[in-house]
Amino acid sequence: MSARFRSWMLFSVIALFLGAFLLWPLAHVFRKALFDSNGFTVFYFKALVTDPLQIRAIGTSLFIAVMVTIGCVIVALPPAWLVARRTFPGKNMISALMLVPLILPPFVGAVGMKILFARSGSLSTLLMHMGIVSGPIDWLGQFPLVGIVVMEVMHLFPILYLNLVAALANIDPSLEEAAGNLGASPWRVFKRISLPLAGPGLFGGIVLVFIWSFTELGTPLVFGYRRVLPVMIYDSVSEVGTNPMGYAQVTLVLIISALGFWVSKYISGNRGNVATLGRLSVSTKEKALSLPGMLATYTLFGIVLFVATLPHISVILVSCGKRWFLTVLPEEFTLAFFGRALSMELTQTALFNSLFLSICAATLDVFMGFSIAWLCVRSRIRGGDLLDTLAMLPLAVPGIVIAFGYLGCFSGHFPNTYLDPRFNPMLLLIASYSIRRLPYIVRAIHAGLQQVSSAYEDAAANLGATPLRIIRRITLPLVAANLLAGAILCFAFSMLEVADSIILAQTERFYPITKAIYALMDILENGVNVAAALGVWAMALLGAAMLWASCLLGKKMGQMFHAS
Amino acid sequence: MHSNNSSMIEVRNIAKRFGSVTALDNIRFSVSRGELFFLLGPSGCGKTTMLRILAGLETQDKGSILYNGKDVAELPPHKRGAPMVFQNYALWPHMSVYENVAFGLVESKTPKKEIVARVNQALEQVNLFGMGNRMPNQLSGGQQQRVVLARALVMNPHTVLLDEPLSNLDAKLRSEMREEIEALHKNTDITFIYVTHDQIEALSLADRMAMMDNGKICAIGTPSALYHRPPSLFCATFLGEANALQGTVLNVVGNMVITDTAIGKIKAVYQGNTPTIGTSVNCIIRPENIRIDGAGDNSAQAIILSSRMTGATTTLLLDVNGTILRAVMLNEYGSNPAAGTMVTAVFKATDTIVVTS
Repeated sequence: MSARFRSWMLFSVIALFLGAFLLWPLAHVFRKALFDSNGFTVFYFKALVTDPLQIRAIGTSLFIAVMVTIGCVIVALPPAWLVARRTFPGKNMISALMLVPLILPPFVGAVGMKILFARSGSLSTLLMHMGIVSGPIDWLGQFPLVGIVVMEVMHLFPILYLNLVAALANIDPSLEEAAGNLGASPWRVFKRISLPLAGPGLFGGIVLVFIWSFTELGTPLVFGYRRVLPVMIYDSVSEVGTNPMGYAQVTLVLIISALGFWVSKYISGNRGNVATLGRLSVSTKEKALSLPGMLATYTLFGIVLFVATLPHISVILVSCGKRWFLTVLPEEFTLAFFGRALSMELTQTALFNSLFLSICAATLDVFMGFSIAWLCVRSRIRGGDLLDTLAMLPLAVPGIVIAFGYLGCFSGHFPNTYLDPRFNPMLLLIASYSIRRLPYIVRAIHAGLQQVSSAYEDAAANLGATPLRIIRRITLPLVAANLLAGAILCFAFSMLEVADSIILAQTERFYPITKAIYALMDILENGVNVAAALGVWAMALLGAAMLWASCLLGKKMGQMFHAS
Repeated sequence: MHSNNSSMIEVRNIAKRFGSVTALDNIRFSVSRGELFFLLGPSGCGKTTMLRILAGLETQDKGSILYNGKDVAELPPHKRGAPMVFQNYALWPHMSVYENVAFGLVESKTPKKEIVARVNQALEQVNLFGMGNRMPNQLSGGQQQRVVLARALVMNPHTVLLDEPLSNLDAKLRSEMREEIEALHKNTDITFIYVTHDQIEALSLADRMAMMDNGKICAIGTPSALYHRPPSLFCATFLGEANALQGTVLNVVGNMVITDTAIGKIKAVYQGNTPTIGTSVNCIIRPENIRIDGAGDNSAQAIILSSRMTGATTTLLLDVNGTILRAVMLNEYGSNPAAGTMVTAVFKATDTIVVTS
């Protein structure tokens, strides 16, 4: 009886939190966009879709999202297949390196890339030295969209890569062998068997990439390209109380994201679990590569990794380069910016803020994630599934929407309290960070719990352990790896969170790292170098965290970055 | 402590449904203190569900369970004091053998010194002394099984519940463990309730057993009584092998029944209610009770269809006017009858049991 009561208490607390910090702000956004003092209205939507400026921004954003998604598939597929199906020396290390792009928010990478590809940057200089072009070219000024797409592909393809490796590893190899045995060439086997079977995994990743790139705020902001929907939303933040257009834009973003999410869920659901029918018999047979195959493989990984780490390299160069103008590489190197990145008051507060916020968010997520997964998988109370669905909702809700919703909702209702981001955004930042990462951690723990036979818990109850003691002595230790990995990832991504941070933190003493980097770039003397140095510090921290997490989770890491 | 004359465990009218499936239907039995009681039945018959209800891991829809005369309905699993030996062992992989065995004692806040002594004693009891530091995945299947037993016995429980404890072991290990469980049971006064689908385990170990089918108990008794005097056709065919001859009751004289079957008139005995003349019944004859020489109450001319040597015994298929009888006899070198031989199949009336259902 009391166990049941406790389950319901837990359920209520979490439902209340999600209701207050997820559903209410979303409802507020909808209400403001669709209702005015005269009741229901589509006036603002009409204004949105009849204004050519807005239409162009929406179109551009969709175009970027589609191109980024296609780009990610192209970049992620061959490496994923090689890692899932072939064996070659150094595979584990290379596979881990593929996650490196995730540790740098694309807009920080953009800081470095801007210099690399500027009119007076490395590429122009290199091409002039080689005599290929006669004068400097402003690559980003001429092809801003290409720059944005490339930046985001380089950052997001690991998500698809992780999904694909996991999906391919789940396919019973005998299904592919049977196709080969009946006369299909390797390419035909891939096209007719592997790809359809990996479909659900692929779509789960695709929709994440799509939503992510559709709502990416930092990269276009740094490249100075303001004609995209996220930036226009950002620009309307200042008039959130007076102009409902921002709400209409946010609602549109939300609808498109939810649509993508629903489509991917529908497709995944339709394909069913065909791919994993034979999971029990999976004994992944990874074939060895021939010498030419091996060379081709290393070349492929080399190119992918080089291009993917170009932003990192450029950021590092910027962080330690002095006097870098019309030369391929900086003329002088210095470590001074690293010191300055840690000694300025702005950066120190930002580092402290980010660490504090991310640790709080990760702790909150571990608590909520474990509770939700446990309520669904183990206690099986009615409504557990509802909570699970609610926890997955943030996958379809971009950070920019949540941040905008908080600003509009809480500033208005609780002015000058800890719920007012203009007064003190810390509480709301923790809420938004944790809610945005909740789906990943719920999924990680959910998977862990399902792999742990309930007989372990039954045996403990049978030998006299109370329900709470069972959780402490049996359940928690058995899912500890999933729990820890989920927490690390949650921490890492909270450190990287851009949209929420930029929109919610409006005074300097509350800036998280990402907003501090953004602010530093406007400081005239060497601001960019210090921003880059701060980025390198963050990168080192996150790299270590990701490496640790991927060691704990192994191939299971792919299951977390999946939208259905 | 426990009173000796009353039953240790009493199960009263237990019913359980999972959705639209009836898992248990009006189950009732009682087990006395120190008894080795079996629940035997094919998979899906509800025997494991019954065991889990006894442990408190499932809740019955109807009925009650009494431990030592007290209703345990309100007792959560961790207060039932009836440790279970799980089919898949459920040894916690993050704990050593020692920690696994000590688990229950730690939960009951036993003093540390006592825990050490009792765990070591329990490990010794199952021949695993000195293996406390191993992790479960370093043990063989048989060793894991012993740890699970030690984990239950260390609690000094009134009852141990065993859920198909030997089903994951190979045949040789299984018979070894069977003997060990028997020895453990003899050396303690713990009540064992043992669930299995393996009739050899039940027949060789049980003091008494309940046979289950489709969520119902169809017979309770000692192995010998259930084998030699099966109360139903299901009981007869599930427990060992049986020839079943359909027939009509012609006459009842004392405890003898005369029936008319496809192979002629047969004299048989019956159990329980007197069969009504004219009703349709089945005559059960165990293969080892059919001989092909000598004289007996029942006999019929037969042709040997096949003769198959299986080691200690030979199995004959006998054709009596189109009805097939199976006979089993001990081997004797050089004297096994060949297929095609005409013989007389002979069996005693006291070995032939009439069942009405």
